[in-house]
Amino acid sequence: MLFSSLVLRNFRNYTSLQIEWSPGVNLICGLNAQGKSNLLEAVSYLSTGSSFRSGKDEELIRWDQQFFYIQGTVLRQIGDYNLSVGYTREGRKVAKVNGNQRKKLSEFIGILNTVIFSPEDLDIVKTSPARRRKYLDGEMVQLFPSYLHLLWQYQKIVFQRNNLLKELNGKKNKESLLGVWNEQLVDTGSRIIKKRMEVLKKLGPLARLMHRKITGGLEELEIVYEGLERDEVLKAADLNSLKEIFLERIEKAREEELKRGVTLIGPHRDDFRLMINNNDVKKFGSQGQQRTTALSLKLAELELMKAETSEYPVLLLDDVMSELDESRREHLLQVIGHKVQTFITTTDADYNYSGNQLKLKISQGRIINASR
Amino acid sequence: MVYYYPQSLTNLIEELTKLPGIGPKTAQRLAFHLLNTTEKDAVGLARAIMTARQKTRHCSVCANLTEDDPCPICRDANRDPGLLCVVEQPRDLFAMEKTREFKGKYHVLHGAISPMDGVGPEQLTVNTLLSRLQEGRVKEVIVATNPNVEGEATALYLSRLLKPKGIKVTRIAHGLPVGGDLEYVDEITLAKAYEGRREI
Repeated sequence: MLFSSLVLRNFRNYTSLQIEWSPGVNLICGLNAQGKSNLLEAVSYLSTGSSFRSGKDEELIRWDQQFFYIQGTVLRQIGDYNLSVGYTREGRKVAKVNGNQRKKLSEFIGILNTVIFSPEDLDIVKTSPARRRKYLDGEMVQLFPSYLHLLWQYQKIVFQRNNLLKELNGKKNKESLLGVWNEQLVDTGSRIIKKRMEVLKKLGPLARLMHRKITGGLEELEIVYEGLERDEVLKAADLNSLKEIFLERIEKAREEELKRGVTLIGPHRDDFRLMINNNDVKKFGSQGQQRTTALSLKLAELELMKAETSEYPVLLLDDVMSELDESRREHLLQVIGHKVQTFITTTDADYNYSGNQLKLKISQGRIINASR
Repeated sequence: MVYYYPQSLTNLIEELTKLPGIGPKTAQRLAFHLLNTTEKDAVGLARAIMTARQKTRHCSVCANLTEDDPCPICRDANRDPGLLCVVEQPRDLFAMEKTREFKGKYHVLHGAISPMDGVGPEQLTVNTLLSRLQEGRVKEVIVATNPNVEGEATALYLSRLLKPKGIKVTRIAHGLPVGGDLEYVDEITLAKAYEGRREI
């Protein structure tokens, strides 16, 4: 997949911009706060229909203007696509594919696939289970659009069930109603767990392979899903036995749930553990190991998307080159090779890549120099 | 000094804003229309509202909206008393009637179980449903609640309640719209239809 050209109007600090990209590596250099990441943000916007940095589309409009407009061309094996999004201060968003308006965002996203790696991705390894769930669910929605519906439905069930638990507190005679919600919680929840395990089953070996390459075979990375109160039984389970385990756990937790008035068991509480040579990276890994793990995960994601869609996505590296040491940087570029189109932002103006490249110098929302 | 609408007009606009789907601007447009229309039309509307409210009530048997109690469907001797279709709202009943396929009787719940809105079985017409079933004539209960989280919870609740009493409980199928093309169906509906596939 190639992202071949980009047009911007009034986007962030850009008034007007037009670029033809290189099919290899695109280096975007410049000092801080000149608009390097804004370019990656625009590319990513055409992929997901939203910004990876800001939840509010209005913040993307140049401060003195009334609208922004992004347009880009994607070359895929199955054909070329012209994508565009316009957004006005009144909140009107128009997304078009080859000039035809798409009413539903789900018909717009997924034409351009991107994988983004930024310094914040270290959080996936370092911080809370919630962050890891968000990462995994986010990736899965890109690959399986119907997974989003499953998540919404589950959220609603948990919300309704929590309301009921609070209401039941102290009223023993009404507990029969809880069974109805348990059944739905277990049914939808088990589907989510099963889907997550399926994806991790594919992502795990890919991440291990990447990690082995980066570390010269010294470290073995493993991803372990921890669901339904940390049970290893889950590993080989089919949907029906998952439901059985889930139901058993939820019955056991009843007293505690009634006391606290929240649903304590289920995929909304699950986590996955990242292990290097059988040690938990979050607890025992060095800063360097944690960084490598995040990188391995992202590169595995790249390969997974290739496996599922038969084309490599576009890779966006936001300010991560300076964070990686020489050998990791080397390896990253090796993986990218000549097969993945890559966009790299860096403050290092002397940085060069030996392959096919375009180098842009950005200053105050303008390209001041472009060399191929 | 700035002047606003006369008090009576403001009241009318406010009352209209309470209606579902009506915002302040539409309410204003409707209010002016009602003032400008003939006296006959305006009074006719007011009377129609009053009459509909006074004359309709819930049927004491099935809880459907009716002018006569019991309602015409409950009194219809040609309908199979062994089949009972349970729906959330009167409008669901009329949707079902339009099919002309169903020849049994109905029961209207007036809602679905939803803890976040404080609606449990006690707030629905479940008790009258139970006493109806005690007469022993109903052989099958068809649950036609909406295919969302609340409707599904209500269906599960009814099946758990009624099955131990030896009554057959069925749920209407989820699936593809008839006459449509497979390629235009959304993934979730298609996945549901796939799950509920049957041998031919």
